[in-house]
Amino acid sequence: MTEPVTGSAPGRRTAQGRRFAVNLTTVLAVVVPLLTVGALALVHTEQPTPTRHGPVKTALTSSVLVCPTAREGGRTVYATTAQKKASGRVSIDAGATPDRVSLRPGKVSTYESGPGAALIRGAGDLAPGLVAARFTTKPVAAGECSAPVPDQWFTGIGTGARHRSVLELTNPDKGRAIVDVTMYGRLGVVDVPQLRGLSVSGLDTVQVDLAKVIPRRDELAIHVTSTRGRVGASVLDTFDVLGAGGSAADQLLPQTAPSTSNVLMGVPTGAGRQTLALVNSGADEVRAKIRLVTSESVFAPQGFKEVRLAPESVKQVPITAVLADAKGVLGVVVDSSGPVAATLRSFVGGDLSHAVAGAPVSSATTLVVPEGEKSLVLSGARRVGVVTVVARSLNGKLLGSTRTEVNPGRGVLVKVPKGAVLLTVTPERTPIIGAVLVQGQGATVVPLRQLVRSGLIPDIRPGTP
Amino acid sequence: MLLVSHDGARWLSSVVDGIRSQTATPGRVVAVDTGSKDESATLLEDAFGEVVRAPSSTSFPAAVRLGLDEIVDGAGFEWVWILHDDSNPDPGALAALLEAADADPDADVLGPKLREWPSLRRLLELGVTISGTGRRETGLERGEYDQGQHDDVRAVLAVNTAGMLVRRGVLEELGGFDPQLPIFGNDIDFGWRAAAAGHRTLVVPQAVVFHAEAAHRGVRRTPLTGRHTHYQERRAALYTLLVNSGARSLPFQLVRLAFGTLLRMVGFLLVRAVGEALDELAALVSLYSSPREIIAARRQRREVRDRRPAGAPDEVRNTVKSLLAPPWLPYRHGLDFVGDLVAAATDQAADVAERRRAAAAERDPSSFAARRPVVDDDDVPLADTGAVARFFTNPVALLLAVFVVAAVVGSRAAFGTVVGGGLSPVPAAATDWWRLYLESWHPLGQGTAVPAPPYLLPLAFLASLFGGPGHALSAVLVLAVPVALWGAFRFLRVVGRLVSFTGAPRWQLLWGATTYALVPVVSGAWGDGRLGPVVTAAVLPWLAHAALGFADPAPDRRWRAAWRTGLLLALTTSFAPVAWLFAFVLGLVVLVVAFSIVPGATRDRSVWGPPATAVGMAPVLLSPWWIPALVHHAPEGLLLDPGRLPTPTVDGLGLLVGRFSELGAPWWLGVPTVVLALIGLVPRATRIPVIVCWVVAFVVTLLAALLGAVTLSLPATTTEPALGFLLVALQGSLVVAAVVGGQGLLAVVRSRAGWLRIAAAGLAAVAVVVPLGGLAWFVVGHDDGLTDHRDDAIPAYMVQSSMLGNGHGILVVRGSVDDGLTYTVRRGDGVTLGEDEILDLAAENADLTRSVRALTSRPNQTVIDSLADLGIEYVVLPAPADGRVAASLDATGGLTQASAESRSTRAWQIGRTVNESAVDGPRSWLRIVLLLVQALGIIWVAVLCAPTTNRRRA
Repeated sequence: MTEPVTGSAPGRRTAQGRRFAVNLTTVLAVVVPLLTVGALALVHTEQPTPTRHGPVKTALTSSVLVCPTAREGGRTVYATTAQKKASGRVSIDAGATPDRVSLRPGKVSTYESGPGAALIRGAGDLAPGLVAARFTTKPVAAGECSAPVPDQWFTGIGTGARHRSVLELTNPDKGRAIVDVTMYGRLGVVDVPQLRGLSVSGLDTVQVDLAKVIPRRDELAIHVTSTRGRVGASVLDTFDVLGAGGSAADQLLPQTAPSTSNVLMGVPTGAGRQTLALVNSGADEVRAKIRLVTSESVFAPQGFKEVRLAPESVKQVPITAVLADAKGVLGVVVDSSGPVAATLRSFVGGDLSHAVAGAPVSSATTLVVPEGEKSLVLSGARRVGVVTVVARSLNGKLLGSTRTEVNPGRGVLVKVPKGAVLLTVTPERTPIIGAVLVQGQGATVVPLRQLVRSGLIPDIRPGTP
Repeated sequence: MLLVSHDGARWLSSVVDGIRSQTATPGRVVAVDTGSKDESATLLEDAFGEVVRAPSSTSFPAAVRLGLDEIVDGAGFEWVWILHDDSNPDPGALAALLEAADADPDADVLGPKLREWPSLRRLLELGVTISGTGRRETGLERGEYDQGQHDDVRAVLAVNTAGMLVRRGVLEELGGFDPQLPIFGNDIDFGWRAAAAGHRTLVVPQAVVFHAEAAHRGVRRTPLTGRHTHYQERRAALYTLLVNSGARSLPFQLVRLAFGTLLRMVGFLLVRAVGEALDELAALVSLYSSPREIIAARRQRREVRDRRPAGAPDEVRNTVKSLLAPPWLPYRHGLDFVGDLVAAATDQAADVAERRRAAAAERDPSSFAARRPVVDDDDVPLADTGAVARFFTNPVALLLAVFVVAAVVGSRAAFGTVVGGGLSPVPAAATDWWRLYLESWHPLGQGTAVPAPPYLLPLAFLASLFGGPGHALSAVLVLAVPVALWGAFRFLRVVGRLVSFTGAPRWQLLWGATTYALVPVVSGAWGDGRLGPVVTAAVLPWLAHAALGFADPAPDRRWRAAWRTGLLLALTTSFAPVAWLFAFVLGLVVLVVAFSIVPGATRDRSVWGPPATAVGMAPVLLSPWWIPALVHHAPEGLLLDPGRLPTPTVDGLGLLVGRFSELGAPWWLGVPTVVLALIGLVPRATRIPVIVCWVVAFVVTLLAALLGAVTLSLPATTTEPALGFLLVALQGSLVVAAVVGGQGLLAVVRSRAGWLRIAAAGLAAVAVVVPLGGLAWFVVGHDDGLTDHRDDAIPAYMVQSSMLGNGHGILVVRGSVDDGLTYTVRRGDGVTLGEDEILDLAAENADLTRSVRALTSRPNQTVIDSLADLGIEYVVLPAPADGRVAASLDATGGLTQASAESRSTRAWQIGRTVNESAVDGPRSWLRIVLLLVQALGIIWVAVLCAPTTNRRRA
């Protein structure tokens, strides 16, 4: 016989048990997916970003400067050292046997060399901070002695009747050097087979008259790369006013690499003809905005549209009228959407001068400048800072010292004593871009350069195969 | 009549009755008893009077000899009828034999039809012959029933001695049976000798003798048989072949028998009959080591042949050849054996689910499991249709075939050379891979002892099989999706049957299998050439299927599941080391849960033993990889996938939808799987299995979260552990959850109507988009990283020079002075597949770093000399080269400029002869020992994995 009383109790117990079991599965069905999603939120992976490992500075034990071939009346080499405590002798090699010249900080040593290109070698203490130049005074034209660089851009080359450029390559080493020159014109890269693989023997100088190699009428730019060894390159630009007589020459300084922001300081005052040459080194079209730097502001002149540059081409921008209208222009700023190299060529008062895009200088730098009326123009400050300028004469006599405040967004003109040959410019709190504009008998521009004071040991790591 | 007996009391009474009831009475009965321990001797004495008693070591031929000697005194008996103590003649046997002898006067030896005792219906022998490999051929099927199909009197090579009727003169002339064959094989040898001497042997099916085959079955053990009947039989067969075959074919026979023995040994090992395999070897060795015996026997036979002036010797030889088994017979047996193995492997009589159900039904006949459902009319299978017709009318099979074809079309990038993404170029030959795997010191970089990655072993094996590393790689990439599809279909089918009796509907299986098979492709791993996720996705469903065997009711099948799971887990781990970690953690979780639910399970070792063995086996099988990796301070390799660095990363969301970062098909194609897996939790009937899948998914994500927090810093770069396998596993568990949940949902929907059906239909439509979309994306073409070649900045002549020796290295320096320079050394044929992992883990060589630093900042002759000592021949700065470094290298004496294809690549040659042994290193005995352990382990486990076939004896 069944027992209904006890029969229901197990039923109820199992019903409860079933409910309990059901609750457990329901709970699990909710909890486990939540836990899973929660754990997923904790999964955190990062792509490895390539980190930059900067080089380590080391003492520079040897350096060499290449001075361009002397022009008439400009054989003297002026050299000094920017190292405060260094002194000694550097060797100057100008074709024949090398000579030794002693340098002292704060004084400019001169050396009468032969007409050819000169190589100045410094060793030990004198290797860092070696500064030298060669200039003519009537009309004044500066010849910067620079260290060999693997590649550089010269903008504003001419190979026509009016405007001619001569490229000079000097090999400071004993081994052979090979140089590739790529030429850019108005419509793109100009194919010049003779400029590929130029060979320069050890300690030799090669001069290439570009007008003879590839005569053209348009504005050009060249990119000089050494594929083997090293060379010091310089360009002598000659501007001829046809018919009216008068020609002028000046060294066209290079730019290490095109950049999206170019500051060209050193616009001579007076009536004349100014041309801005721009080269677009990239494969995309670039738009460039041109602004003028004055001591009040940096402004875009009215009515000046932005310039469009086709890929790998050169554009000539006539800005004579703009510069004539504006007053007190110290320099020109070119901002572009892609890398651009720029040169401002001024033919004023019968003399040629170039203002090339300068590189920021953040530490004390020393310049050797020709005598004559000159002024230091500065711009490109990122913050408010102070610039100290110390002027010395040829034998080291202190002629004057000024401290000027520089502000972002405007230029500064610092008058420099006429007899100053050695200038020391020390920026504080901000890097600056600047140049010395020498305008007396003719005009020339000597830009400020960051001095190389140390060697670099790159960071070496094993890489992925 | 001659009756030989030994311990045959069991049968003797019937035999004696049979003899007594013969219609044709034998003239005299001579019984020979060879030292029986039971009452056979007394039985015989009672029945026939005198019994010749012989010691128990008397062989059968000797016993026959003794019996013949007994009747030597006069009484011209023409015929001798020999019987065994376990052969019971039919009453009309002797009469039929004598009748046949009268009908054919040339016949000298006659034998009856032997039928099986005790069944009495099955045929045993109707004359025997021997095949070229020494196999005793009866020409009958196993267990063939006697239906009168072989009732013709015909000539054969030999008849069994049980029931043999032979002329006394012939017996004496041939010297009786060969004493060298004490118990087995003497019948065939006698018959062969008789045929060679021109005598005729007939089989008379009208005479029937029932034979128990006691000695052959091992039922009767004598000192002569010992315990190894197989050894004795085999030795007898080989002996027969060697002493009776013609002189011309003897050398061929010797070689053929040796090879044949090896093959048979392999066959026995495959069916795990190790004892019999060893018996084969022992028989061969024992015979070949006693050549004098064979020579003497052959000489004896030659004498007998010469003595009797029989007919043309050619005719006799032809007769003998026609009576021997046809030459193709051994090959047919071989094919049958292979076919049996394959059938056993693929066609498990019943899978785990059915076995469990059967076991449950046995335990409790009234339970659910024993109930069989009503067969639905729709499910009645079409009978009597051919396989092709069935294939074409089966929509699921057709769709699967279409899918496979589409997948192969989609993987067309893998045909031919495959380079790119994570795949370095393959080496030229399979031997390169074998050498890389087997050497303990690698002349790569500056030489390193970091072990070769473990996936090289299966790849090298495939390369040897497919005739080249390129073909092997293409095969792996092309077959990955179809293999994953097949595995997933099998696994889902068993899971469906475990969950419910009818299993999941085939359309759901199709969806699940196709969705899973596309996971390695749509995640972006296939297109980026990441072997880890691709191969593990293909192997994982097979692994899971084998692991389901742990739920089998029979313990011996559980152990076999353990071996299979362990081998597959080792294979998976070799391609994705994280897989072992996952298996270990999952095993722990399952054990903890199982013990908390069923505490009694701890006591039975065969419950937790197999899973533990499976998980513990993988480290043993992979020991040549992880132990040297730890010893040589490269433990990061234990967490990295194969392929070039950097591996593609995957974040939480990517894991969920199954996509690597910035790779793969659109992410929204992966969302329906997740949604379906979540909805699968709703139906109550299948909730528990779906929860199990989600628990597995939780373990995967937990492991991913833990591993994602680890950063591995390698000498050249930093990276995170590879999570590719976890992505695949997570997607797999979601797919299984979706399928099982779908099963439950279907059951719910079937019972209700209305909006639920519409919702389910909508869900199904959304679900179908996933595999269709993925397949379309795969086939139409996706921008993958696999190309035909990879551009190297290294000029061809430098590559050729570096192949001359390991000391001709090429130092490649990349970067710039401002951002830092990195260097690598390229040796041999460059970095090929399998070498990336070694180079990534190899420690930085401080000497080389110092030399390169000096080279790039202040180069001089000492630096050049040290580079040459380190085995560097060329220095290359690929484009874009830092001009400052290049200029300083140009100025260094001791470096000559070398030409390069592109003008912006700078290269120099070190002007000093290189040190050829710069990257040589010591051999590591540890790795060699571990390689041996691995090889033996794999063979042993592979044998244990083999399925049991029905045939136990060839």
